[in-house]
Amino acid sequence: MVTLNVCAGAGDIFELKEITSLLRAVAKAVELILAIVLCCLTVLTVSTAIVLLMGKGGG
Amino acid sequence: MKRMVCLMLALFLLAILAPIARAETTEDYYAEQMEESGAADLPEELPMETQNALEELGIRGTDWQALTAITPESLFSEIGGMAEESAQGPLQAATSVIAVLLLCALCNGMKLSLGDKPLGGVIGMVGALCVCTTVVGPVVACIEHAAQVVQAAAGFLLACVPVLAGIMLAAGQPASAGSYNLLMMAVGNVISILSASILVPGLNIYLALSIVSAISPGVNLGGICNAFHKVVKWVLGFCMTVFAGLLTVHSIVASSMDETTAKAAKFVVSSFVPVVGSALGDALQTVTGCVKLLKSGVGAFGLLAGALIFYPSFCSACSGW
Repeated sequence: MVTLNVCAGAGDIFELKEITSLLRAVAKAVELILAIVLCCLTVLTVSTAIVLLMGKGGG
Repeated sequence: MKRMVCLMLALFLLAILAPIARAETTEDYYAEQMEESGAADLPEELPMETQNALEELGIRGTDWQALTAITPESLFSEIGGMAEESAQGPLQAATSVIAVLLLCALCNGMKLSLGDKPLGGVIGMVGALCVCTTVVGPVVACIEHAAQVVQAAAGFLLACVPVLAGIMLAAGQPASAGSYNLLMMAVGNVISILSASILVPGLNIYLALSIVSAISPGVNLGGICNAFHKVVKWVLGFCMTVFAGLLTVHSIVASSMDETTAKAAKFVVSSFVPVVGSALGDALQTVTGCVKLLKSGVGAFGLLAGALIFYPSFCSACSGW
């Protein structure tokens, strides 16, 4: 995502509209992948953390 | 005098040998519980890449001593190594993209013309197609890798949940174990099915629509792409909120039920067993504490393994693509 946005920034400097819009579109798709991966990571982390905290109630 | 010497000798031997005997017993007991609960087999459910990363950190199982021996230095070294490995491909492709950008800028600057028309538009289109061929391959590979990672994580979750639920049951938390098992098995299955059937084709279609929309503004697909982007983000946020809320409500209620059950069991043992009732009640708590140590070890291992499963994919999507 960082690389794509940097390249899009370079495209902006040289006023290359087609390439810039293409790179920004691909960056958006990568952003979606990142969101899905982070969502799954959060599900795993939150559930495990809650299970560990549940131990207080056992005695 | 003789009795005093014997007593002193006995106390001395007790002071020296007791901690050794205790340490051996605790470790043996932990290892036995780990084998019987199935926690010892959990590392084998991880992808090979994650197993190697854990081995480099010195973790070969759910052993609590290895888990507490991780140093920030080794962790940052491992994370840095993985980030460096993930960023190499995208950086190489970025140099190609920048080269295409410079060539296009050079051609635009020379004000060349093709017949009556300026060459700028043609050069822009050719440059966009060159960039497209450079970028699309790695991004599609990244989508496939992300789907594999999500599926591997769901597989690990499905292997880890029954083990943790069994340990919770043994630790005297039947209500918590039941609700956790039910919720997490459902979530693991849903994630696994979605990642296998929807994630890869859906994201590939979105990528294709985005590229077409960007290259040819005449085909106006920008609205659809933006709508899809927003819908996916909102759905993910909504699902996370519902899941976290449901799990929190379940854990609050179930943990109160377990606390009441544990206290009632201790009261029954202490009150109704004659002579040794109190000692048995304390022993019950000690056994529960040992099982909870195993639960903490398995939970910590699960957290660390989960982070290491996702880290390469996260790193590849965040730093490069």
